[in-house]
Amino acid sequence: MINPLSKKPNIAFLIALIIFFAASALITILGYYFYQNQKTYINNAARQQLTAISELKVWEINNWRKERIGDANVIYKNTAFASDVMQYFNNSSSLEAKKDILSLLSATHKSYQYENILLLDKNKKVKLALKNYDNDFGKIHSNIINEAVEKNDIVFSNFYLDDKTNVVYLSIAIPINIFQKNSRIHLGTVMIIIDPEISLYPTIKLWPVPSETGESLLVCRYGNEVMYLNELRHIKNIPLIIRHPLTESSLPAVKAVLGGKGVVEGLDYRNKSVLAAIKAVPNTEWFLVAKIDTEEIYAPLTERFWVTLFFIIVNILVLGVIVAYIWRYQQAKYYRKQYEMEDKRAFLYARSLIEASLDPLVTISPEGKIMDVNESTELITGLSRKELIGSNFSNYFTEPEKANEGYKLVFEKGIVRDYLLSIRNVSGKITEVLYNASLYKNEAGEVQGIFAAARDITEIRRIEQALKATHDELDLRVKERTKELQIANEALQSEIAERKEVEKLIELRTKLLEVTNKELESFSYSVSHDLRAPLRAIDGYTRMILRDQREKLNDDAKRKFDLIRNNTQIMGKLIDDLLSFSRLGRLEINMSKLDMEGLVNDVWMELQIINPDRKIDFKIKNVPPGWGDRTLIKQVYSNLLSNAVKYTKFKDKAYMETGGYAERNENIYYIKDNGVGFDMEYYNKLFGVFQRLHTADDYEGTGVGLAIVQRIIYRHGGRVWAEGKVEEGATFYFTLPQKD
Amino acid sequence: MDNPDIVIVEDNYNDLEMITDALHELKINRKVCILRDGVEATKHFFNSAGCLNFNISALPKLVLLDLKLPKINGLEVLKTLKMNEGTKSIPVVIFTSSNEERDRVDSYNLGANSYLVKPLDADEYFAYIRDIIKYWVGMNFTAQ
Repeated sequence: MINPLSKKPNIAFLIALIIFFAASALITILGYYFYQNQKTYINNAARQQLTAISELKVWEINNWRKERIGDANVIYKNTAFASDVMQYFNNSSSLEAKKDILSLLSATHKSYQYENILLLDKNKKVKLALKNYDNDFGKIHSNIINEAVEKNDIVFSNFYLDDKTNVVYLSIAIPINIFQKNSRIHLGTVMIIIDPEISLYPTIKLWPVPSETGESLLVCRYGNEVMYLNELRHIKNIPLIIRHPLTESSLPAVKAVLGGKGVVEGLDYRNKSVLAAIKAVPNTEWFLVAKIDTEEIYAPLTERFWVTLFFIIVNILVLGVIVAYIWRYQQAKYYRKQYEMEDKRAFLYARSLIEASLDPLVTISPEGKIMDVNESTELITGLSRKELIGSNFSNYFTEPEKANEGYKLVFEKGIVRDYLLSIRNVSGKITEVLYNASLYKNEAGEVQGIFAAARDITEIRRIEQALKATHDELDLRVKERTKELQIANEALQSEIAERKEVEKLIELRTKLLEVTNKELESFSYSVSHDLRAPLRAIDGYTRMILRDQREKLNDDAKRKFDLIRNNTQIMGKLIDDLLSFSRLGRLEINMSKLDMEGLVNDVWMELQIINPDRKIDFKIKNVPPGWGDRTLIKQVYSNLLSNAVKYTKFKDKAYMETGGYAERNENIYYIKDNGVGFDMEYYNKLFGVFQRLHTADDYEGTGVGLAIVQRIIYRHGGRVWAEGKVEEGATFYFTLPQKD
Repeated sequence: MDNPDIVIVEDNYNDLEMITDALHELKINRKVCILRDGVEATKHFFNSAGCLNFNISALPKLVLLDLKLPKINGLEVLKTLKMNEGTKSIPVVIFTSSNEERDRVDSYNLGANSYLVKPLDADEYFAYIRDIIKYWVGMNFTAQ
């Protein structure tokens, strides 16, 4: 379907966000500049204040100094005083002079709370003093006295520390001169000692506006150091003791003594950031430093910072709300537009669906009039849309009553499914259809009419019939096939039964064979024993007769009795051979690797012992090792070689040869001689039991030897054969399978 | 009852004739008892309660036993004699026509003292009997 949400609102949202952030940034920047402005303003105000204070202090100090110099001038310019001094110095007992002098000094002392006022003569010896003094006063103050005398003017000393009292003082030296005959005569010096604690320090200390950290300092350079001349606000000390090297350039005091002017920023003696105004005190080496902690200056700034921040945040929030509102408004507008477009699209979509449907669709008013149709309806009825709309719907069916019934049913049940009707085309063609109809309502739930969809089932009917035909045919074929299978199954069953019969038969035969074998075994056993018993008896009795009746028997009778005994022995040998032959079938075979050449040698040695008179040319050629039962294979060689020995006995030059070679999966061995040989015509009798091709008179033997050879080789899985020619010798071959 | 020195268990008449002839030829004057089958042999040694019929001192010097006997075969008789404490010390020589390996092994396993196959040659037959008597009964025959 159609996605009602396109990408656009997201972009709008993005734009709104950008506007919001940009405006926020602007507000923040404005706030920042405002704050900076405030800072500059405060700073400037502080600078102005400090400058004003420093100027005020310097003015005060200067004033104070001028006052002191004014006091000194009263003495300095008083010629009457000078006359009194001269008079007093000339005559120390002049009480009047002394009184005048003291009167002036006391008046001066009283006008300002001076520490002491002293009168010294030319030799710096104290002549008069208002208070106690040190004996070496003149010596201590000689520098300033000399300076005053030299300059012939009032000299204001710097601050100094009295070693004995450990108190800071200032002093003023006033040269006392008298003019006679246009010449100046130096008489002595008046020294005024000032305690700065009395009025100077309070003047400096006093800060004209309320402040936590505001402080004025009076400093001066002292060699490579700066010296604090007055009491400090933050460290209780004795003035003149605290000094800092000039290298500590961040100190406003250092800046002051190095010529700094105006307002400077720096760190004070407490290592705190301060703003300080520097001003030199005129006519002195002193500098005034009016300073205040930046912390205090900017204290109101902190408050303004928070206020500013608060306004920034409030502004941003308000802005955010405005932007959000505008965005929402835009969104709503956009969606409304989208919705309207979607509505239109949905209408078109639904209409397309209706028109695309192959099923004839129709809407019918509650009065039974056609309200709308699709193209399929036009096709099936053969009437145009114009003709159909407004007409009675039941007109187009073969059974209008049934159509009306169905129509009523829709009103009753709300929905009707697969209602069978036939539509008649104007051409007369009838189409069978299934109707599905339901009520459709407006938003208020009021019935607007019926929506009916017909399905042409002509094709379905045709397919149904085709399907049935196919099904019937398939059914038939299945039945046929089942029958065939049944027959095949029966055949299989009978075959199985037959096989079972055969198996039974085989089993029976195997059992029979086993029984027969056992019988045969016991037969050959009893034959050997039962046949020997009478032979033994015959020999026994013959021997008895010969023993007991020897004198009574003639020679012919004796000879014949001897022949009887010989024949019993031959019979015994026959039985023994037969027995050993039958025993071969039962013997177990122990297979091992055989040294065939060694075997041949063993047999040959035995044969030479048995036949010491025979001279035979016997050659043993290559005899490959074989695989078999040692005893039995030895028997084979024994039988074949003894045969060869036997059948060459009438030859002038008897020759025998044995050897072998490997061929494919077997080893072939042969024994060759140049004896009497045999006629190949009787070859088939060669390996038979008791079969002989020569007379027993010429060649002794029972005719079992070759049969035994054959049996042994067969039991090894090998083959035996022979080639021969009368009087030209014979060759016997046998094979042994190679071990895999 | 006489207590024989030699007990011969043999069913074949011809063999009996030949053995006794040999004994006669050898001029053996010992008491000989001849039993014709396994049942007779068993009864000769044991009563119906299964007890020995002899005193230990009166046991025979030799039992010459054939294997192929009617009713109870020779191996059974050998087994009975060798399983019984009273008779197991009697020397039993198997004298049979069977040259089967199986019979030979079974006999020795049951305790036979000797196993001899009856030879076909009558001269050899005589020599066998002579040597058996000489060895087991302890008689000396001067060379004739």
